[in-house]
Amino acid sequence: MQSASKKSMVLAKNTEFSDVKKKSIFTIMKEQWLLIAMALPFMAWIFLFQYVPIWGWTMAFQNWRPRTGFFEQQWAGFEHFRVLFGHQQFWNAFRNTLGMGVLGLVAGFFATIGFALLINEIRFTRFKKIVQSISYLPHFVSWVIVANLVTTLLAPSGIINEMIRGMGGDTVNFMQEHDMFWGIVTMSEVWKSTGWGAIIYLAAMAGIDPGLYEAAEVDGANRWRKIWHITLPGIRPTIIVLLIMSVGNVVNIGFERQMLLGSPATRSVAHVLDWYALDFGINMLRFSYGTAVGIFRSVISITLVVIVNFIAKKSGESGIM
Amino acid sequence: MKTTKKRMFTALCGLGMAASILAACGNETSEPAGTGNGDTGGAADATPAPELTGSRIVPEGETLTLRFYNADGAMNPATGQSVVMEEITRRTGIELEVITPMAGHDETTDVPLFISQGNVPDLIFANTATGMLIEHNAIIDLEPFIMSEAGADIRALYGPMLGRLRHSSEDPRIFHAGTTFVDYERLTTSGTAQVQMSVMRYAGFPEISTLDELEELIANYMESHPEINGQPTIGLTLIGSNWRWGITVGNPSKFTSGVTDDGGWAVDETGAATLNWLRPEAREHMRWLNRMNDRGLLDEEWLTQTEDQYFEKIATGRALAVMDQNWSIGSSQAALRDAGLRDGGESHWRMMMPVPVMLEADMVPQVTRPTGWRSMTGVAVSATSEHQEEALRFLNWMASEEAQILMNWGIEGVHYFYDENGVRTFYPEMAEIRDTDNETWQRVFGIGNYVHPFPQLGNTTLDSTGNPITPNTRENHMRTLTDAQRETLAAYGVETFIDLFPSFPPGSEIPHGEAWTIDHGQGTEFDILMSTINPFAEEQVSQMIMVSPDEFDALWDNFVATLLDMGAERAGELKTEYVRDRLNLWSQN
Repeated sequence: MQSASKKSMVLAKNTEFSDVKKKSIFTIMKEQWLLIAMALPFMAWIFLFQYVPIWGWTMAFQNWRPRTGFFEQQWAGFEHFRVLFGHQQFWNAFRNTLGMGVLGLVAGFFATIGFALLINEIRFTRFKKIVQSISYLPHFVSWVIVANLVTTLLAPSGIINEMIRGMGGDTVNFMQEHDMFWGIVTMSEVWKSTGWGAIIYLAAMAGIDPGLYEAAEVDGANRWRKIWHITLPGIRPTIIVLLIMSVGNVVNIGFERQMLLGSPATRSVAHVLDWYALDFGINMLRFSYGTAVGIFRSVISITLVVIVNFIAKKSGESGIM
Repeated sequence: MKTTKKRMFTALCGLGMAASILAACGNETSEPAGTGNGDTGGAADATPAPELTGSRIVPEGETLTLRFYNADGAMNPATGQSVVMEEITRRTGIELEVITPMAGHDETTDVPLFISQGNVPDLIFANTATGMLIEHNAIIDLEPFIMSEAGADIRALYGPMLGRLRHSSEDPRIFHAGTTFVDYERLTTSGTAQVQMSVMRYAGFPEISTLDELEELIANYMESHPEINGQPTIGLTLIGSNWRWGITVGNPSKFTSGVTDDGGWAVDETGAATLNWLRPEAREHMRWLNRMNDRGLLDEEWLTQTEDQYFEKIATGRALAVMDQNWSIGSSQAALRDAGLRDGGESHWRMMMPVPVMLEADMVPQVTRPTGWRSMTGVAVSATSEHQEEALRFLNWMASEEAQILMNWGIEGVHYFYDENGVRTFYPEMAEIRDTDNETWQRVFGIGNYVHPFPQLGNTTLDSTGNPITPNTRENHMRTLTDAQRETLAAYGVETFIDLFPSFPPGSEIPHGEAWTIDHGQGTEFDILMSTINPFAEEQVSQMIMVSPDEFDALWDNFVATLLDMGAERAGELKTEYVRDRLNLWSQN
């Protein structure tokens, strides 16, 4: 049943493709006006909220002052970028952002896919649903609460240290160790977002033709074989698309986690780009400087996405661009 | 459909035009109507001001809501309605819509938003962010109003100190009505080492003067009392997980070597400023903390605990000593005071008392040294407010004797009365509430709740009836002491705890006041330098407290060298300029 519908979809796609070449663009638009009309609000939304704000980038090249008209602003050229690239704190923040971003990406990638595979293997439907529901609940818990939980758990008087002492170890003051900070941030993010992130993979897995599993079973494949040869290849396009998108977000990691989990003791490993923009930009009323940080971050994001997309295409995947 | 829309549009246009014409007319006709409001610039009243009577700021029967931002609102809940606030509205016609920082925010995050939105509240107490408002011309110069007839009460309140409200010698305008007490006798010390009275009692009330002696007291007590109320005893607790780092770790390292409260700086009589971390005394203080940590006398969670955990340790009496300000541990102390009423006074012994301990016995504590009056921060008036006139007059009214008595004592016949000798006294049942039920007193009555951050008279001021303007006098302070405190004080042969500290003769005021109250501007060279140096220093010093004692010296040498690389000396030069500018400004007034 499912395979049949898939086949017809492929056929439909092919015929449509051949139609495109014949018909003029206006004819197509006329034919698909309803679809276009449905897409319009979202196009407008993207334009309004994602593209129009780019105009604000002009701030980075001015000495912007609030409540002053655009033409009365004083232009500064690349001065803010010059100061930015000469500031050691900035490079430190950049390093921390990349570090935690990459760790989060890698850990999140394996944790979500692994978790989705595990859930997918559960045959008892009701249990599966309960586990899945519970697993994505942390997604709705605010970072303030998560940070408090983590701090309490890892405190010298917390349960983890009780266990360590119970096993004869020495108290570890996790929250003040420089070497552990990135790990703690990454682990708490994994805890919070794994269940939620797994949903999309589970959806992709549900779309895999059961006939393939049945055929594999007939051929004597065990569960590992089925996961390796059927499930994973089945969700490969999803994995690639999500990976490309999350690579773009490696430098977009925000600062709540770092701010809430960090303290004066771990500042040099916790200070990330957004936090830097807050400290040395907005809080000093240097709005232009803060914008320059934002532009730098966006440029890095776009570059990363383009690179990963290129690699994906080269290796035979479809990519997103 | 179309016609309706068109009609509506026309109607709206018409309304808009009418309004603008009316406004224009209003401006032309609103010549000063003999109310003596002075020139305040651009408050647009559409109608000529009718005669105002008594304390009214708007005509009888009307109320005007002014937006008031209170940066300290979260700490000192001057929010919501209360008996006193209703009385203020009844007398003046002004209602305050109080805006306070949301959780996790403070004035340094709120004020930039106000500025960028062009939406600065009518009255604004921006505390440390006042400089931002000045820089962006978001608040007005108060001097023309203060010097006018209508500003008489503000002039009277500040008296000869008026000149110290000036911003700087370069920009001598007055931007805020300083909230520091005028005429004030210090009743308590704050910010230095404080230790549980039970620790002192256990040791037989010794007179101690050094950190080493304090250390031994704590060690002895911990040894004989490993648990308090079933939980492990904690020696000294500090809190280094947020901005309180500076209050509990940074500042005490200056106080214990006889340096006045100048923020992260040690400032001498000539105004020359040195970064605290470059002083050998700061190093010795941190070496002491390092040893405390090594001996297990320092709370092992001091660096990472949350505020809740910290306050809980003090409120349950588990922590034997702190180094903190009274306003910080006040709620924990109040909890112990309440608990003591229920357990026969045992918890009262767990309350903290200040001890004058220094690095060396011959160093002199400066905490009791008079700072001289300095305006610090206060309420300012928005430059974009539509009600500047009313805001200014309200500010003036808050400085009047009538308002000061109302805010400090409540309402005559309800909260207080004058006895046969003319002494202002709280009714006994009110005095009872005042001593035992802070919630009702502050939130329901609102007494004492609106004094800060408005202009305020101090506890040595007498009003026109010869009564103290605030009930918080030395007599009152001594009246509220617990039995435990009385017993301790008697053992030391003094009246109050402040008597344990040296008293300074008149004229020994610190010439520059307190250097931390100087505004350095945002995004200035100094600001950027310090935003880099401070977090670095906090992190490094924290780590050095936790290392093993034999690593301490090498790390500290390295730390000082890095600070110098980062421009600590340049920052010192800039700070010196700021301090000397203030000395210069104050010598002119």
